[in-house]
Parts: sequence; structure tokens; C-alpha cells
Amino acid sequence: MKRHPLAWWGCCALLAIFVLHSDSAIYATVISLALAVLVLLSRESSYWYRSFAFTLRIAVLLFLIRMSVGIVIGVPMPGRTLFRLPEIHLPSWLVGIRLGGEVTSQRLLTTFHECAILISLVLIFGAANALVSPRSLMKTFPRALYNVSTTILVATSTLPQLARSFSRIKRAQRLRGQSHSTITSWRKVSVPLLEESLERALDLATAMEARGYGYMKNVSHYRPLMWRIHDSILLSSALAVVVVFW
Amino acid sequence: MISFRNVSLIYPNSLRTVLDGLSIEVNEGEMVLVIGHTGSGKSSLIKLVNGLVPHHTGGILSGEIEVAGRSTRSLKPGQLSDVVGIVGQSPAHGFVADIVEDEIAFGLEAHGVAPEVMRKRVEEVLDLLSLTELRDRSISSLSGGEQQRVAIGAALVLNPKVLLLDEPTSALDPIAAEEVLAIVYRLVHDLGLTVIIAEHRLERVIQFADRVLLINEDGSAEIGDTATMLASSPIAPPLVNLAKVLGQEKISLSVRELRRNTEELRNVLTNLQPKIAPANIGSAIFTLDNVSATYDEKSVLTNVSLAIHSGEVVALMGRNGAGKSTLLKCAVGLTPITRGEVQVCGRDPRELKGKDLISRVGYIPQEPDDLLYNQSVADECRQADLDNNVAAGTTLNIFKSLMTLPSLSIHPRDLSEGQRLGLALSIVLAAQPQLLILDEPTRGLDYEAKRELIRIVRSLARDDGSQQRHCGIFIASHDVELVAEIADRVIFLADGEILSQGSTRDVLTSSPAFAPQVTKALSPQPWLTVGEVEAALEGRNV
Repeated sequence: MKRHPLAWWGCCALLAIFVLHSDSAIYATVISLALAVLVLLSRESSYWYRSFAFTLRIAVLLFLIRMSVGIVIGVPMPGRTLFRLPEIHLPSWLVGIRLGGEVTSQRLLTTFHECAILISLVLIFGAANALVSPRSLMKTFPRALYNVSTTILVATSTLPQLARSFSRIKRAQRLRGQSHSTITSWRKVSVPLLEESLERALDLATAMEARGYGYMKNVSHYRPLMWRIHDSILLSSALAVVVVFW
Repeated sequence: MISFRNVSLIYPNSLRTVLDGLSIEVNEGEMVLVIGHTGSGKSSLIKLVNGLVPHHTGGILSGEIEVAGRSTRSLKPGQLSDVVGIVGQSPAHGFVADIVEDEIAFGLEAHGVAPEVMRKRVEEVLDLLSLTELRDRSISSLSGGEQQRVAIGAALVLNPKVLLLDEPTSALDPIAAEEVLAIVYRLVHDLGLTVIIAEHRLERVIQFADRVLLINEDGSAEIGDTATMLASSPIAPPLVNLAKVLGQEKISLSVRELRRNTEELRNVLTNLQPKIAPANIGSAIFTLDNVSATYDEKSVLTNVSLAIHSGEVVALMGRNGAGKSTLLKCAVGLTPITRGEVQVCGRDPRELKGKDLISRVGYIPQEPDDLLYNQSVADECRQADLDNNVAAGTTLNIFKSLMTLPSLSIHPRDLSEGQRLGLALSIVLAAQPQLLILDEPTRGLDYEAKRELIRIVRSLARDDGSQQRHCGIFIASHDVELVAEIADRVIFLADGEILSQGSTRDVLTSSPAFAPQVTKALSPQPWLTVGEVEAALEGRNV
């Protein structure tokens, strides 16, 4: 979805503030579901979009951890007892905290409530990341930060490269009949890796220099991002949701 | 457009003069081909034109270089970027962005060109290089030829008057190479672009070049008309050598020209047969039985079955991305196989480790550098002796038997491409493998180094009773000339499937794109190499 990156980020920031303020599990669930559907509908097959799958996995993991911790540890709460866990008695100076024991409906609800808010925040952030490529977000940086954004740009394209070199060199070690996981074999990977990354860095610097990078005072942006009416609609509808349900 | 006046170049800490008193003038709209042995200073010469040498690399330069009336002495490469565009040896290393369009726009952004103008320029360049359909693609998903085109586009976007190309086709298959060179040729003719191109694989470029600049070992250089230069040059493509063997006075630069000039002569050859010594083939040492492999949910090999026997040299050909490297990696258990069975000397290579593996398979990856990680040649050899549990000095002796030794104290990275390949080969051979695998061995090798490689590979396959010999050799290569010289059998791979396999002669003579120059020149007769023709002609004379 070709919206202005700041429109998406603004929208997501508003929703996050709203979720935190309203402190309501229902709103949090509805908002995170809506955003998840939005991301899945946008169907971009780029890697930042794929990062949403990663976000989902993290969210599920967080949910499981938070729920189990909430059930096992905490202060006693009133309500109907659902089931009983074996209880470990703590020393007397840890008054009010218990491990295991009765699990009441109230305790389950409170834990779920906290969980929902935490996870919706994670999902909102993940959705913002998935809807806007980090590169296009960088384009919104002011021109004074052009060099900073170029550096980040180059760094992000170099990292996967580094990972590829690493596995290639590691494979080559196998071809020399080296055994794995010793300190010497680590040295044997790191030296060529270092050499290669240095060489790459030099190659890249050469290429950038040859294309006139860093000589002109004024730089410009290819396809500068325009703030369109749709972006305003997006942002104001998020604002409307917040205001109406505040 | 470009003028060198009495230019000499020496690198610090080096005794060799790279260039010695070079004076040349290159006119507008000219395409000059720079040739010379590996390490003779072709790249240096190219980088001198836009000032990368010495501004970026160091080095002592005397004389005067002018490009479009500007001296490179005081101007940095970036300040010349509007008149000179350069595409380096490995364009993939020079990409800044990850999307094609952004990559092309980078130069314009850096120059602060107004967005509207920028859009127009990018559009023009995309059209010019037929990249319009790839504009939104991520660069890493492109094939080698496409990447090369993106790099050329990125260099052309500032509308330079001069384009410098350093080995633009060395990593490309014949079809992609032709595609790239045809575009360069069109740019020269349509836009009057001045092009300086360095290339090892002369058979691909000579027909496009106006003049040839030969850099000699001692730093002296000669420039002249392509035909005259190649007639006397020690470095010549098969076509030129064929013309010499056929007793042609005039050197032909294209297959068409040679065919026109030799219509009658070719009739003489019809009565002759290429003489081939039959290969002494032993038992199967590497077999694939209905092997399929997938990578990232994409099928890379589909139902591949083949067998390599000891004593034979088999070439694996196919376009970039056809799955050649994946197939080779099966032999060392690095390919994730989903179906089928791979056996090396009766064992599954995935179960083999350490010495068990390397005593069966010797594998030289695309970058032989990967195998080298010690600080000197002597250390490398010593390490290999230890790894393989052989007597000290074995590896060094193998290296000595393969080629003239370089100085043992130098760092492997400072060796020439050919020497590095030789060192990697010696290390691998020290384990006395029964199967030797080479992945694109001729990348960056000049004709001389290639001849050397051919000699070594042939002697390894031959059976003379010694332990080191009678290997089965499996080579993946784009280099049709190498395959024609070296292989007994060719397996042609397309999209992970075996398209055809058979004797080198049958396969190469039946494919127009992958036919060597001699075959093209003498078709429909099934000749493959200049050597064959020469031997047959001499045989007849006797």
C-alpha cells in the first residue's frame, strides 16, 4: 500500500497511545486484529513484510510466557476457583506472593487483560514495520541527515551479505577436512571473513566515489514522498477512532 | 576524448612498473579493448581514466591524463563522475541500494538533480538497457547478466561521455555475455559513447572493438587496429589462431569474416577427421540417482541422474542459475537433497567428514580464496600436510609439479588468479582424492593460465599407474572454449534438469549459443579446437 510512511507510523502511534490509555483488552484485541488483517491484505512479498510473520511468532511466544507466569506467580485474587495448582510455600517475609495454588477466574482475566495490551503494542509496532519499508521511512529524513540515512542504507544491504560470506567460508572449511567448533577453526573463519568484508567495504566506497557520492552540497531524493489526501484520511480516521472511544 | 601523455605508474612496495611511458589518444565514440596477462595492469589503466588510481588506491603517477579536457591530477573520481562512468570487476560488490530503480537513481541523488529531471533520466536509462520490467525487483534476485546491465545503467545515468568496463563478461554465461556486449556496442554506435573495456575472453569482444591496447609484462604498451594487433599479439582468441593455422594472411575478427575468407579452404577439411585419443575410463566414482533438491521452496534440481567415472573429464554447462553449483555441491554433501541418492566412491557424502571426505572428493569452489586462510603460501602447504596426514612437503611438491612456484613467503591473496587456483588445487590434491570438482575455474584466468590448467587437468585424468592420477574430473564452466579443449563428455543443465548429455563434440556442435568459435567457423564440420585442426592438417601433410 503506497501511503506515506509517516502516515502509517502516525496512525500506529495514535493507536498505541489509545490502547495504553483505554486500558481495555477488548479495544486492544480489536485493534491488533484489524491491523493484522490489514497487513495480510496488503500482500507485499518483500522482506520487511515477511518480518510480520516474525512479529506474529514473537507475539504468540510472549502471550504464552506472560500467561503461564501470570497463572503460576502472583498475589492471591478473589473469584471462583477454576482449578488448583500444587503450591510451594514461600518464606514468611514474602508476604502476599504465592507460587502455584488456586487459580481463580479473576486471576485468569487480569492476566489475559495485561497480555492483550502488551501483545497489541507488539503487533502495532510490527504492523508499522511491515507496512512501511525501513528504506522508505529513511527517505522522510530531512536532507541534513542524508549521509546518516545512506550509511544505514548501505549497512542494511551489507549485513545479509556478511551472513552469506560466513556460511560460504564455513562450507569451504569442510572442504579442507577441518573439524568444527574449535577456537582455531573460529579463527580460520574470522580472518577470511574480516578480509572479505574489508575488501567489500573498499569496493563499495570505490563504487560510491566513482558515482559522485559526497561531492555535492545539495542532494535530492528520487521519487520524493508526497503527502496525499489518502494519507490525511488515514491519519484522521485513526484520530477519529481515538477521539470517539477515548 | 581521453589522452594519456607519457604516463607511468608504480605502486608503493612493488618493484614492478605497472605502466611505463604510455601515450595514447582515444577519440570520441571509440571502443578500445585493453588486453594483457593477468596482473599486467589492465584494471589499473582503466581506473587511471577516472582517477580512482592513484586517488583511491595510492601509487606514484607521472605524466598527464586528460578526460574531456579535464586533468585527473587535481580532480577526484567523484568530480569526474559526470564525464566518466565505471563498472568494476564484480558489480555486485558496488551496489548501494537493493531495488533496481533506486540503484540507478543513486548517482543522480548524489548530484542533487531535481526530482522531475531524475525521473526522466532514470526512465531513459531503464529503456536503454531494457530494464523496465525489472525496475521494482530486488537486485539480489537478478541473474548475473541482469546485474551487469543494472551496473551499466547506474554508470550511464549521469550521461557520461566515457564508459569504463573491467571484465564485464567474466562471470556470465555466453548468452548473457552477448546480451551485455550487444548493448554496449549499441551505446557506442547510437550515443557516440567512448568505451574502454578490459577483458580476458577475447573471443567474446574482439568483433566489437575498434582498437586494441596491449599491455606487456614490463609495463610498455602498444595500441593499434584490432586485426594488426591480434596478428602479432601473444594473446589471441581461437578464431585468430585458427586463421593462422589455416594459413590466412588476414586475421578475421568475426566468424562471418572467417567463413567468407575460407570457403574453399574449408573443403579441404571435409576429408579429414578430428583425431581423438579415447579416454581410458574406469569405474563409476560419483553417481546421482534420481536426485531432486529444493532450496527456499524452489526446486533447484529435478530428477537428475548421472555418473562420473574415473579417468574421464566431464563438463557441466548451462546458463547462470541453472543449478550447476548445486549439483556439484551434492558431491560434498552440501546440497539439501529431498529425493534420490548420491554416492561418492560407494558412500553417501553427507555422512562423510574430515579426512574421509577429502580423500574421496577434492572440491575447488568458485572462489578458490575460500580454501585459503593462512598468512603465507608456505603456511598453507604446511597446514594441508597436517590436515591430510601426509609427509611434510607433499603439498609443496605437488604445487611445484603443477606450476613454477611463486615466492613462498607471500600472502595467498597477493598471488595471481592462476597461482591461487594452483595452490588450492595442490592443497586439495594432497589428500589424493579420486574425484576432483572444479566450479568455474577459468574466471579471471588469461589464456596462458588456462592452457596451464588444461594441461594439469588432462594429466590428472590420465592413468599412468601413479596414485595421483586417474581422477574423475567434474567441471562446471561457462567457458565453452575451455570445455571444448578439456572435456570428454558434456552434461547440459537447464532449470535444474539435465537437458542433454553426450560426448563434447555432439553436445557443443549441436548448440548454437554454446558452440566454440572453431565449431562456428567450420560448421557443419564437427571441429572443436584449433589444436585438432592443426593436428589433422599436419597429419595430412606428412
